[in-house]
Amino acid sequence: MADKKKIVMNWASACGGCDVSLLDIEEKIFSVLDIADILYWPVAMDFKRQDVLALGPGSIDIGLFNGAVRTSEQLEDALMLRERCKVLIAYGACACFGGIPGLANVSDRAGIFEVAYHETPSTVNPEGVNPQTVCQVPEGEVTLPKFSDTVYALNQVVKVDYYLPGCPPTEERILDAVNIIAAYAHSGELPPPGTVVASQKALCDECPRVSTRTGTRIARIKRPHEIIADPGLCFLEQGVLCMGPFTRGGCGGKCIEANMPCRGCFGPTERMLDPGAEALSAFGSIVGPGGEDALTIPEMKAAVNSIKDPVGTFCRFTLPTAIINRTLKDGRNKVKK
Amino acid sequence: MTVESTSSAVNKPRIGVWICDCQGRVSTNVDTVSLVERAREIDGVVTVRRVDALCNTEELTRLRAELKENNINRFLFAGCSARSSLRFPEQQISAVLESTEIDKAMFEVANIREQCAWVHDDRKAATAKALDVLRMAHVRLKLDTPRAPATKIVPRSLVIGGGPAGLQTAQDLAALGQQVTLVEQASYLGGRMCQIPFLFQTENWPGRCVSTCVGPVQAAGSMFHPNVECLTSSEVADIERVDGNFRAKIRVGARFVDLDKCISCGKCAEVCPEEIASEFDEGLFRRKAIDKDFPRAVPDAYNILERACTRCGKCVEVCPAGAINLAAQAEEKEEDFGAVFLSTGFDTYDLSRNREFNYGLPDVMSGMEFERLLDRGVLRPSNGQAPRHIVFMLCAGSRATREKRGEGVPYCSKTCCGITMKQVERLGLTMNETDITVIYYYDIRAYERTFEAMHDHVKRMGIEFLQGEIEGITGSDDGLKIRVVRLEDGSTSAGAAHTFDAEGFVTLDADLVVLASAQTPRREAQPLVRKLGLQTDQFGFPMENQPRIFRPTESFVDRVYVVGAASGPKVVQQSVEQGSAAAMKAAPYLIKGEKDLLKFVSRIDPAACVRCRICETVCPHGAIKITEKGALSDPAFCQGCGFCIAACPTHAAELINFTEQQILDQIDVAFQGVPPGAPKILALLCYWCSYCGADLAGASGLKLPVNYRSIRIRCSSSVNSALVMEMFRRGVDGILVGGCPPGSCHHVNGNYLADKRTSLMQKLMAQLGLSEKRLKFDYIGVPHSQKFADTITTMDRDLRELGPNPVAVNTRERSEIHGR
Repeated sequence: MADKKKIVMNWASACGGCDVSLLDIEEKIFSVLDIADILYWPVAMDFKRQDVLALGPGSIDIGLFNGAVRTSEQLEDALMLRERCKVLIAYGACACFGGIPGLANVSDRAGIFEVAYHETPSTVNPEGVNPQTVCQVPEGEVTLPKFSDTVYALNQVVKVDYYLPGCPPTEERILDAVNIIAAYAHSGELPPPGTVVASQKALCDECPRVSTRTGTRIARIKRPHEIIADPGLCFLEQGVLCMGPFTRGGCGGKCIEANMPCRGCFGPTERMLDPGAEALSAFGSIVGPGGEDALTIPEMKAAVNSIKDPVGTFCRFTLPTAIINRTLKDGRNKVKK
Repeated sequence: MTVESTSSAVNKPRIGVWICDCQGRVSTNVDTVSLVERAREIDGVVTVRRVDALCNTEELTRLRAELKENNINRFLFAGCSARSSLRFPEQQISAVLESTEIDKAMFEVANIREQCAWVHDDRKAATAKALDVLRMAHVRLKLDTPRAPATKIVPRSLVIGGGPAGLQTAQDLAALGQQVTLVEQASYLGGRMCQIPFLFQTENWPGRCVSTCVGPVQAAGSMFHPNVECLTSSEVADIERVDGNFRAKIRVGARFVDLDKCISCGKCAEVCPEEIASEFDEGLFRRKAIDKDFPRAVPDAYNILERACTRCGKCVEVCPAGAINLAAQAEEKEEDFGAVFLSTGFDTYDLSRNREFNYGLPDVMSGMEFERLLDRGVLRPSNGQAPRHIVFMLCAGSRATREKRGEGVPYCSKTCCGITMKQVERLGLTMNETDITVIYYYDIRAYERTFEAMHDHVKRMGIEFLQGEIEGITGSDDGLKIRVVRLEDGSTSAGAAHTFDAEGFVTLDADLVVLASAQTPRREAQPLVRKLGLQTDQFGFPMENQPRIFRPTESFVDRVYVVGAASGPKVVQQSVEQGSAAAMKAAPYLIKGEKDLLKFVSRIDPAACVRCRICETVCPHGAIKITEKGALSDPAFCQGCGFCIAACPTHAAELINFTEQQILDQIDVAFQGVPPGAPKILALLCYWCSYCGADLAGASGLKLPVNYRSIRIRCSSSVNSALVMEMFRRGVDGILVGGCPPGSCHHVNGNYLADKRTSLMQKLMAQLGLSEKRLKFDYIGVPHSQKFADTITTMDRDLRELGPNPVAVNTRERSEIHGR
């Protein structure tokens, strides 16, 4: 038996589902404990950040980082773990590509504060107070981490060794990761850097419904709530935009199994240049009834124009890693040469 | 030339650059001397020549010699546009390369004339642009690969449908020495032509023919040609595209009567106890279970209708030739073909869809049924008596626009007016006792000289013409009553006998009504249309390839021809013309026995393909099929439009010689000569219309901002939106995508797809704060150079106001974060 490995799990800008997902592997969690000691896991164990900071560089074998990087504290955490972990794994869609919190990049700090602390009907804030990084109270000075304008994926702030995508990662892929850890514990061997613990092909490759695809166009887009989907039939055949063709497989098609289209939480496949624009290009091609010559231009475009929110539809989990990864201020903010 | 012989040479590029002064038409605004110096520095360039004019015979001869002497394996020409030059276009370049060892894919043209020297006056800036354009051509050329060997074409053609069109194709091909299999569903050759006793020539009054005469002649041309195998009572059960050819399963109907032995004595029919409605006679008359559909039918043999035969065996007993075998079985055979001719004819509009016609009445009939009466005697089916008043109704089921009540097809069937004039004329000449009224909807469309002459003739005969719409036909023992309503737009022109009442109605008594029914797409051919991957128009007719004017009968699928009424309403003569045209279109492939592949063909990597079939959905040319291993693009069918690469979710599809790498490499070198502070404008112009439209801006003397560059893309729909995004990342400030004008795309709908995607991209850009002014789609045709110039000029102004593209700046900032 080789040495037990030292593991940490961090929680950054994420919903907490990733932490819970680790427990999805049920009793197999104990096998992790056979091969590794968990030194830090804020959601489950009583170790503090200071305990990690006290460890020297490279003293942790494996760091699991879940969540995107949004605040100064999360950035510090990322840097802290990167320095101390031999292997750093982006755990879950948020760490891998920014995830749902990454959609906040359509706005910025000021815009988000405006909505969250002033505009929402449930907000009661008569004095118009905004969160401050430093605040004086009778008891002394209290501080908050700085809330940045942009949400980042983990690899945009530190080097990442492996990616475990998913919202949250599925049990099977977590076990793959556990096996990687086990192999590392036993033989010290690791997969090539940058490995994504998922399929190398898009989801359709493993989808049982792909065989029902006939190559027809989507004459009119149907949103999932508008139809009772045929559970045996490819969503594209039913007019529902399914992100399966644009999304790495390996999730086991759990959403498809539950008769919901893929939303893209496993992120893009390797050759894709830009996750959102790719889907836009394909759907822009196949959405519409065909026979365009006989239609007026507005009729011809009506079906694609029914896509109201291209960012939310096509970059739901990936906006921070897209080519345009946040709202720009084109023309309003002339950049000096 | 094979790939093997060039592969070693190709491994080491030896690029020859020829720069043409165009006798000063280039060199006035572009310093070609300095261009020569810079060209020498470019990687892989072994020869650089500057010439006054490369297009004259003397220089072309020298060019051929020098290409050989210097072992050039890639040719880069800088001068006039390969697309629109009238003296040295790509066709001429291909011809030059043909005479050398250089594969025809291995050239690129830097258009420094039409889109540089002619549109920019500032010599220094134009020269800087010319160098960029040269570099762009170079990075394309560097990654160009020779074409794969030509695809072998099976030297046998399949003609589906033995009407006048299919028969013409078969005999023309046979005359060229080609082998033909002709499959005809009926027991006889000639199709509907045989049902029509009197034929007319459309433009050659007063030429007439009777089908009793010409039918057997047209049939015999194929029937007795040793190169043609005529399979009557047969059908194509399945067809698929295999290795650049077509594999068909042909179901050869049971040969109950041996065509070889039967001599049509008719003894069998005499004894046959079973009768059935004759399809040949449109159900108006009956035939025996064993019979000949009409006396002059070819092949000259009787046939048994399986569904009517009780196998009583009486015919077998009397047949003197021993030709009858009641145990015969249908056979299926599979064969490969190099070309397919779909000459499946038309259906007639189902008149029972329009209740107002009351088509169930025995004396209400279609025009095709009336043709049979003309042949067999014009008597009322209800009582066998001669009609006293016949009413013809035009546009029955045609031109059913939304304004018109009732069912029908929206188009004009174009043949019915002429055919009705012919029918009326026959009646007028032979049945003096019968009154005739022609009810027409809107107008008489007698467009050919013959039609108009017949129209004129029948009017002079005193035939009544009444404009209106049938409200309803009712029948009683006395005959038929036809209630006609005046057209809503008030245009009335009642004939002498009948006038509209105050409410706008008139009722006619008649005892026979002939409805000129529309020609509609052949329903039984639809599965074949689908299997062949043909595009159909909004009415269901297979479409011809663009530019349609110059490609009659060619479908969007290579070597599939739609001939005669299969592609839309036609009369016999037009169908025959198409039959000949199609044979000629296919002949070069069949005679050569191979098809040279295009420079641009798609290839799909099975390692990345997930069989989502999006490529197949968008492919307008039926080139893609789905196999166990994934989608497969057949290079012999691919027309290089690039729709698949723009739609493939996983980048499994790539277009050879138009790769992402080649496009992005061009972006990286395209703007080196752009003056500081000027926006980098990229025009992605479709191969045919828009690029030529841009070229002609120069030819028309228009001036454009010197900071635009153009890439001649395969189709406006050949560039993936993600690639457009990547271009922004690489610092392009504004992108114009130019596509063919509506209705003109060479790949069915690429312009529309690009328009749709651009709208969607603009929406995404707006969400992300990137100005929509940075991406534009426009329909730019060849005559639209002013529009092109205006668009580029407007973009230049708008982009100067906007400042540098923030995507590139944002990307630089991100890479700083990465570096942390």
